[in-house]
Amino acid sequence: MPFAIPKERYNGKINTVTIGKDNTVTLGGAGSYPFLGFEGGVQAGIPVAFEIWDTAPSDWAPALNEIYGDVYADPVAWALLCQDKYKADMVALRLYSTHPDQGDSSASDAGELVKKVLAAIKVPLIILGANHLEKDAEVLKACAEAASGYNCLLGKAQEKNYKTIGAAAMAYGHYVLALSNLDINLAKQLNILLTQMGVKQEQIVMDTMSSSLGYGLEYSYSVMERVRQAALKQNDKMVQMPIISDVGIEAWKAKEAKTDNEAWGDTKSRGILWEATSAIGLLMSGSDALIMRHPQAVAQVRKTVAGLMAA
Amino acid sequence: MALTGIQIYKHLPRTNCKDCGFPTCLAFAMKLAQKQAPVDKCPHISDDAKAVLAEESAPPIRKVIIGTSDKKVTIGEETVLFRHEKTFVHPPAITLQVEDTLGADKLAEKIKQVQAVCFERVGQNLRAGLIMVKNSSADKDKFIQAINTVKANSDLPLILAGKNAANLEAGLEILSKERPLIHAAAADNYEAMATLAKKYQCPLAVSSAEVLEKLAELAEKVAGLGVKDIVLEPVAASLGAGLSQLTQIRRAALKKSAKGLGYPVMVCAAADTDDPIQEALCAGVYVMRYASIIVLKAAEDWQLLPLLTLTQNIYTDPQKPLQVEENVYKIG
Repeated sequence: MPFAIPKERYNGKINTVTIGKDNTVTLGGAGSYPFLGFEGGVQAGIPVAFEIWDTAPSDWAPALNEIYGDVYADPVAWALLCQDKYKADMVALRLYSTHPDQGDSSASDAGELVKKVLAAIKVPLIILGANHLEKDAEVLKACAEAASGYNCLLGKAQEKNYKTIGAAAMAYGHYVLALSNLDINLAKQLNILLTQMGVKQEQIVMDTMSSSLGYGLEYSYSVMERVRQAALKQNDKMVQMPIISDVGIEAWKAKEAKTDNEAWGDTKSRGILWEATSAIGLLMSGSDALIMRHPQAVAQVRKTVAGLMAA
Repeated sequence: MALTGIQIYKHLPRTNCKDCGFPTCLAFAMKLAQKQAPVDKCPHISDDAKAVLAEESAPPIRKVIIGTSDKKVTIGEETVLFRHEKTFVHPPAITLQVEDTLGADKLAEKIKQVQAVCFERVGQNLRAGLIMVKNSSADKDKFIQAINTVKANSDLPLILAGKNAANLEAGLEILSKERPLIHAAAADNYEAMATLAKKYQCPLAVSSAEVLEKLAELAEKVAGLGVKDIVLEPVAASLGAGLSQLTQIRRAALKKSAKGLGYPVMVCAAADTDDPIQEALCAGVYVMRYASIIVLKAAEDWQLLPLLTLTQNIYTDPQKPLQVEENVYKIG
């Protein structure tokens, strides 16, 4: 039989979402399964956001403390360090201290901080709540107003609080990061609910739950592959939103990333590789953008992505 | 893609003689389609038809076994493109490459280190799978020496790699009962390599840096010489090209759309870098996409822990998630 290179036929494309004001960043746009250049439609790039907190973290790994320790107390300085020294494509500000159990700082304080960070940086800003359903809604509402005009990505909207966050995004021209729990139908449902209330499809970015290497990666991986199949082959518009993976926070929870252990070898290199491998695993599953912590992990992931995009 | 009953029926004598024990040829064809009867039950089927039906019902990706001890490595037998369609079957063998140009002491140290790697995670012991010994010196004695050093310090199955058939044969003499993988048959030496593979009953890697069609043709030639246990090695210029090739091979094998590609695949994770982190990440890409043997130049503990964990994650059966066995465990 004649030799035939098996090419997949795709019936849909991933949306593009462009965030930011003067310096913009575009997520998404793939027209094929991840990095299959021979089938065309590889996205232009994989933007990486560096994660910063609104308060000094107390239990981050030593490998991270040695990089960021000096700026932990000053989120603006921290953001600038990521942008200027480590060439962050975006900054992701996690408003950790707004969580009722972690300081319960106010929504208006969060809004003030967002204003300060936006005044200082040039790259786009992702604004993340502390993952407390009620407080996040209140905080993100205040931050949406504070960030008006800056076209930020607000996250994460979940099934129980998407109305407030969606409304705030619409009112102030921001994008919505929608989080669902490892199920394609839940992801679809949340997108349907958001679009029904008036958020445009092109304003939504998805997180189908970013599990770390060794702690559930395979669940994220299989859900994301299903989502991509539905988006690209069945042209299912309700899952064609780009996906951003919250890698850093999950990967650095693992003991393998930060605990000294003679049998496991050098702790610092191990942590960097644990974060980078989680990122690569999620990229190969269909992720369009990453939120990461360690600059060397980011550099290594960027190098691997460059190799993947080479013909 | 398996043949349907109707498609199989076209290859049968269609006399309804009932010698097979079924009332009609169509009934027999339906049973064949469901793999509920062997094709030999028909005494009148032509040899050509038998060959066609045997090939169609063969698993799309051949099972290949390397080694003979309890550490032997089984690869192949994959049936899906996406884990969620069913499951992946045999996790890739993470392989350390050593060259015979390395001094004996350094070599022994490297081998001892990779031999000692063993991580227990969720009830499984994660280890490197194979060691590849390369005849980089092109010298027979150095090769023999290296093989003996490896054998003395490790019980992992081996890949013997070289361009000189006589040197490879000397190595195979030492390992004659141990079924190493021979690396590799290329366009300019495949007949000599096939002869070795048959003589020593070993699987044979078939390697090409050219387009996939050439790799497939080469594999077909090697198979035509009587070597059944083949491992394909497409040599790609970049990680992206490698990903494309492995994807195309898996698709072609499963769809049976091209002869010569129905075999497990081996890759070098990152021939062009000595950075161990980058090499481990490239290896990770291949773990996620279809490689059965992944060759690394460095295999430190801190590299292998994430890589082997990734392998474990991707190769769990979605129907049977890994769990720690229910039991009472002593703490401390």
